[in-house]
Amino acid sequence: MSIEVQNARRLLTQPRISIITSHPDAEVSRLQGLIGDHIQTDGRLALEHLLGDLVHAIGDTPPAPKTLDLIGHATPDGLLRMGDWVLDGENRTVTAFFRGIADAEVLPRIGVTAVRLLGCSTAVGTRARGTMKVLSELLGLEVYGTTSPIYNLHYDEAGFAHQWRFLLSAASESPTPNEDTPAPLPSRRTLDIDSLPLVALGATPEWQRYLVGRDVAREILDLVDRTAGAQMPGLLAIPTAELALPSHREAHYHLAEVILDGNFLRVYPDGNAQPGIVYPVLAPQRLLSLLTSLPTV
Amino acid sequence: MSRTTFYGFGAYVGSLRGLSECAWWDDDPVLTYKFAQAALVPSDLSMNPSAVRAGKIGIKEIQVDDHRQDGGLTTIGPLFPTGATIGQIWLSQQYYESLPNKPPRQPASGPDDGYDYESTCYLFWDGEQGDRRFYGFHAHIAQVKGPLSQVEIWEGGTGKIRGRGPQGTWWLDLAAVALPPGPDGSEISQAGETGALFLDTTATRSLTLRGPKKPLEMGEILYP
Repeated sequence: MSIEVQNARRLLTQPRISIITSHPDAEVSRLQGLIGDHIQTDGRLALEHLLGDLVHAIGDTPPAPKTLDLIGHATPDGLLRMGDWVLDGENRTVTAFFRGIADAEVLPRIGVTAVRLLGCSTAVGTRARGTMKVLSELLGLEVYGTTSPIYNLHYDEAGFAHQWRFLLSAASESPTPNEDTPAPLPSRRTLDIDSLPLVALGATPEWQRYLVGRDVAREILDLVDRTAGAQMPGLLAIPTAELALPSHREAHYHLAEVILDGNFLRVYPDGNAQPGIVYPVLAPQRLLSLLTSLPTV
Repeated sequence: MSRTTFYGFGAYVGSLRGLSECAWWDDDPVLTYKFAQAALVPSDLSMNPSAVRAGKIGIKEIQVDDHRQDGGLTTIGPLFPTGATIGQIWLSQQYYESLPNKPPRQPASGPDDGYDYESTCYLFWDGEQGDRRFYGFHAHIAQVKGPLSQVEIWEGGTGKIRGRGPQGTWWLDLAAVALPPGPDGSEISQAGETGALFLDTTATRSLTLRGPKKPLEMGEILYP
């Protein structure tokens, strides 16, 4: 099956390409009557030809970003069937096909940014989700499946209707809703300098960095309420200064930041990728005055 | 300044009356209501803040908060028959007050673990807080230092549980992220105070704060 260049060029300008299985039944017939611009396909070879036609039809105008919507019935374990071809991520013919079109960069060339497997419950079950993940990895694109049965109610002339997008689930999503993921349990943290990461001093930061000797370090820590540490989320406060505190390892230091005019000391006990822990300074003026006596590096 | 107040409920949809219209029980339909049709609460999920923004309805006509996919707190629907039929629904205070059979703010079969303000959300339409949302929490201010307050915040719906500790402790700039104290606002601002604290979306996102478990049988949700 091939499509005329004129039709292909029109499809390239649209936000989605709806490809409907040619498997004949009443529901498929209803969808074919309902969706305006669509293409029917009876399997892998037809789909390959169709994508080839679309690539050849690319003119001077770049194709519009779009989804490739594959519309058909699903097997009981949520695998989409296009004609006589079942999209099963465990089937080598299927993976070879998608690897082939990925190698030729077919989908990005025709503007496809995501593939949607529009059958009943194509994002439900281990095999279905596994297939979504395999296709997504092969194509380097997001692949969506559905979380419930879908039928002609969910379509209009332009294809799958936007208002029903809540029925879609992405391959990149955890099958368990994020809401069920336990949130971290931050609690009060006690400041233990020796447990802070050891770092060799790198490039000079935008703010002043002070080298702190052991005696002054002890004096500074006495100014801090070391039992009242907690995260300070939201916008990061820019440090007034950075303290390079001594460690047991030569040329390595524990870093602490002075923030909010000396009112708080911030450290990163869990590494820089995790939120900093903030401790109140009991005597901010004393801390700032101590800093003036320290060498900078 | 206009704002819409939403009250959160667990919802078991018991009847569908249209694409977005349904009726629901706020508590277990089997054990608590024995499927009593008279106890169903009718709601049209399309009468929401998005409809106001689209100019379809007025603010006073809002019945429910938007669905999660549109930035709200409601998780049933948003369209039927394929939308969710068990989840949360957040009713506007005005619509709630108009109901002849008001569901209790806390489910009758539940252990009454939460304060009502833990199931309350404010959406401001204009004024200083325009376009902001605030979610209610049970909280304690341990200390205040400069612009920051050290705040202990309880997981939504657990503020009344004796001996249950907070979800976490954070240093927060309450002037930036919380609704100021006042009638129908936060109750706390000073060190040592305990009570209602309404935090905005910036705070709830960065703190990954949990909302009330409604219905009780469902997993907890994180606020948006």
